[in-house]
Amino acid sequence: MARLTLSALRKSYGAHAVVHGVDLDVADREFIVLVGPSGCGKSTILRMIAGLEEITSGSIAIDGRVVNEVDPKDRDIAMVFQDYALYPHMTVEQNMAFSLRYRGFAKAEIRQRVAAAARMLDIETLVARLPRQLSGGQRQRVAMGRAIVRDPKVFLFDEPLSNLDAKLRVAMRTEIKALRQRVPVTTVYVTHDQVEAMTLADRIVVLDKGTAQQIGTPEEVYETPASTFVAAFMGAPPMNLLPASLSGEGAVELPGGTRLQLSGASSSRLDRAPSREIWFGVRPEHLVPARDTSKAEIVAKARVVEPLGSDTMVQFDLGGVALIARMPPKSVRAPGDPLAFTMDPHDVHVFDRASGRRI
Amino acid sequence: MQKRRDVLKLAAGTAAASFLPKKLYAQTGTKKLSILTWNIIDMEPLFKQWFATFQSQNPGVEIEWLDKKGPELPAFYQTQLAAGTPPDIVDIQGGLGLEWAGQGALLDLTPMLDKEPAVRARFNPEYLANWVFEGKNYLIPFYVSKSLLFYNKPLFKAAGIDYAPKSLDDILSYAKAVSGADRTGFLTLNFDWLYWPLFRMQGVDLLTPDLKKPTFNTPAGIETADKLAKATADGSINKISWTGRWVEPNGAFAAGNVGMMHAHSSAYFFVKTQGSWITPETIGIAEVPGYWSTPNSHGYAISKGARNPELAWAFLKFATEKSQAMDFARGRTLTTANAEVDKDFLAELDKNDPTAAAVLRTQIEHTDKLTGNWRLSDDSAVKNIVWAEMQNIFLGRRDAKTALADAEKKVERELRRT
Amino acid sequence: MNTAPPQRAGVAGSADAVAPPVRAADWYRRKRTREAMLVACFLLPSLMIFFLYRILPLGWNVILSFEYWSPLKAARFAGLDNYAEMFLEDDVFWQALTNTLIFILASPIAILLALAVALAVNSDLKGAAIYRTIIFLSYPLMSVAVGIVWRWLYDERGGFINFVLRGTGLIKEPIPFLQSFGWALPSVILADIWQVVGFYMIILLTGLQSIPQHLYEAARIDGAPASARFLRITLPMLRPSLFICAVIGILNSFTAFDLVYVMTGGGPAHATELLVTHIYNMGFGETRFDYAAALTVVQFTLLVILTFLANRAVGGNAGSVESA
Repeated sequence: MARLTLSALRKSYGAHAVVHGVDLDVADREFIVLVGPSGCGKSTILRMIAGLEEITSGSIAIDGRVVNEVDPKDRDIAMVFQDYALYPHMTVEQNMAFSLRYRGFAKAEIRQRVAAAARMLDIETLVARLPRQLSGGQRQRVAMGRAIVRDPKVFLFDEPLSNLDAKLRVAMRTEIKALRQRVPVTTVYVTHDQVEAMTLADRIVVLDKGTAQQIGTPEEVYETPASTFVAAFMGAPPMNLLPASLSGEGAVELPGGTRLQLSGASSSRLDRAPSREIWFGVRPEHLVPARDTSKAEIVAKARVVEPLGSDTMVQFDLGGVALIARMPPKSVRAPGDPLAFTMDPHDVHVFDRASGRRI
Repeated sequence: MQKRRDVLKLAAGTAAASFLPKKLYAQTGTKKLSILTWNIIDMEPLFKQWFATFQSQNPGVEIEWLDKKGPELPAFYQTQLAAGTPPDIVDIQGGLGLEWAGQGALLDLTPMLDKEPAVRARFNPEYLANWVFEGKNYLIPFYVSKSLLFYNKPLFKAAGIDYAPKSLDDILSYAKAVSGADRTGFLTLNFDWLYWPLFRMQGVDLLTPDLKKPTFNTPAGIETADKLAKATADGSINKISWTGRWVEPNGAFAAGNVGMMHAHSSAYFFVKTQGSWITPETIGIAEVPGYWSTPNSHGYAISKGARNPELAWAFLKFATEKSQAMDFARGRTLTTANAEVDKDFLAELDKNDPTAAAVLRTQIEHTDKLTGNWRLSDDSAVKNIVWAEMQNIFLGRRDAKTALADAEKKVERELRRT
Repeated sequence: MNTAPPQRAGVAGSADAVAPPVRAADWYRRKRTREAMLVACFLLPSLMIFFLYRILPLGWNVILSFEYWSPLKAARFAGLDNYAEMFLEDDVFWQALTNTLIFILASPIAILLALAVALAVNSDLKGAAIYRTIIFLSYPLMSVAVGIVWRWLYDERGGFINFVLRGTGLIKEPIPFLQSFGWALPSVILADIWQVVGFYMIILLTGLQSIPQHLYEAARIDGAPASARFLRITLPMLRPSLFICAVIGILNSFTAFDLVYVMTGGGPAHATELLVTHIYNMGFGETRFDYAAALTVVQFTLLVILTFLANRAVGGNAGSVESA
């Protein structure tokens, strides 16, 4: 059992505030990913949880015990650093055993725990090596092994994959996911990569400028982004956002004069809009090629065509705004080809223009 | 008249040289003369003048002059020796000339001096004899000095003493009388064996006249060493006497806290510029008791490997001539051991700076009582052995009896080694 | 008959791609030889200098040590005479050797001091940069100047140290630091430490600053107390820097010539004589180059052994920079 609770957590350096009151309740065994662009405060939050940064105000509690003033070593957490922070002059085995030595474990127990972790991470043959004799991926595993042997209440990961090349990053991501199923421990994972967030998280915290923009499952964050920031940040390519206006009765007027009629629940939501000025959002994959051009809601000409194999990404202009559509392969061949799309009203998003909040 | 003929000669020589083919000219014409002096760069203008005159008298001579600072010259000269390119003429200080002569580095000047008795007659015979090794004369004096006693008259007066010491016991008792909280009574320079008169005045000598056996380990030697050690321990003798080189002892005396200083004449000119208390009335100048002193002179030698020994000898004759030597004595305020020059120069100086004249007069008197150099090719090795044990005694690490016995044994071994 | 157009090796690059593998390998081998030649050409000048001014004199020095030789006398084979004299008769050699070793043993003190200073100025201490500069300033000073200043500080009568010690009542009688057998060597060593500590500090500071901060954080989370973080992270990570300091310290003990020469001239009675000053005295003071050569061989051997031991002591791969 390990619950982690952040309440009104704030951090400022002098007058410069970097975290503005974050609340988060992490359930036992839950895998939380803090995601956001650099400078959003995600690493600072993680370091506050670890006890490496002092908390300006608010509180952090692990299993109900407030640990604001507790030394890092007594918080029962383990952390994996971006550069792994392996002790370069110690062997893999010594690295993994290091923390246990200071926790009063018997030698036999240390040996057994290290061996078990090494086996789990498939690094048994590397235990006698020094970190500099390992590849990036192997170092990554050792760093995780060092965390696992501790059997801590909370795992903290600080951008653990960002030092790896793209291919290895994908492989390690899968491994972390697999490992997570074998060692289900409460985890806070920091990344700037929304794919990592989506694939690993039970719940995602999207951070911007020190504020949690949205906390939710990957599906929630993806399907109902709470703000234009979340909408644009989560998903690749990002959601298309167009300045638009409401023209009453569930109708939205897009740039270039296109009118779109939203029906049902969506339309009733629009009544609550604080202003007629909105951002209209639709993900590239939700621009559906229209079989019948006359029924299409958007008609345009392709400007840039990027075949990816599985899909083809097509850029086009709508009333001076650049949009991207994800289309079936070979459906569009060359710039200048005509395009026609329809949209499912359930798949479109409307945000207040001034605040960027979802309507 | 003389001058015009020189100019004509020079012109003719130059003209002849320029008409000769280059190769032939090299064989007949240019001669190079290299001169190495020791820490006397301040005399550059005078030397340049000498060179010009000498070159006008000896057309076609090129002179290469190099001056080296105190500690650098011996090492430099030896590297040049090892490389087979020693300078033709070298200026050597103190006993080093004898040592190098003993090692075969220097040219025997006796035949030249014998051939030209007028040149030999220029010099004070004792100073000249100071550089005789195995009956041969290797150096001729350049400028000479020897140790004497300076004393601080006001300090003496305050201690109730009004005359210069006449013995070692006088020196030590005066020193004790003068010394106090921040004052010490006596100070001696020790480099180049300048302290040795303190022993010599007690009848102690380093070696037998045949230089085969040490003679310092005698009751008198032990007693003298003991006295100096005791006087050092009770603060009568300033400890810098046994460790300092030049700046500290002179500085200490100049500061006015030391009763007496045993040093050579150049020390006077150094302390005079540093000590504001020093006036003709306050500085006492005396011979060392028994008139013993250690010379610290500079001599000219010609390297055995010199390319042009005749030319080098011609230059030495030129440089020690009355006119040149006089200019040099004036330029540096010193004695040259050219008897005529020193006499005239001191007469001149008596009018301008009687105190300096009094200091320098000691340098050419009692030259029969020079001590502190032995005609050994390993002079410095012997000296180093004895000096280390002397330091042990004076600074209270060992008692005189055992230390001198040890030194005697080591000196015997060193004498056997060569 | 080879009918292919002649092609110069230097421009053959694009042709290689289509050339048969055998030729490509051949070309590659030639290219490697060419590169090796080029490297050799670049190295040649410095190798020549190294050989001419280091190896050759060293070799000549070794030969000289087995001869009787002076600049003016033909060399005569001396066998082990010079060494026999050194080990059996030359008290000054033993004194100089002992003093040199004491000098070396003092360098860990200097390094520890430098480490303490480096740790202090590496912290958030106010004005750390200024202290750092001040402490380093002693190093570029000429040893001769340092010697003169310290000689003055140590003076028995007018020296600052005696003035302070007497002023504070710590001592009644002034201590003749450089004139005393007991004090002279420690006094010279202190001056030497004073001069070199700034340099050690800079080396160690650079070492400290190259230790990733994350290691300390990882250790804090791992539960290592401050002492363990110092002993098990800082010290091992500083190993290359410490080795450099140790080697400099050893070298310095063998070459602290100017300082000793200026401060004491090796005295009183050889109390501060080092091997290097003894070598100088024998060679240039007493014109015994043969004997000085034998002394030099012993000093060189000692230096090699000590450097080897220092390397071993820090793990055998000193100087290599480790990173994880």
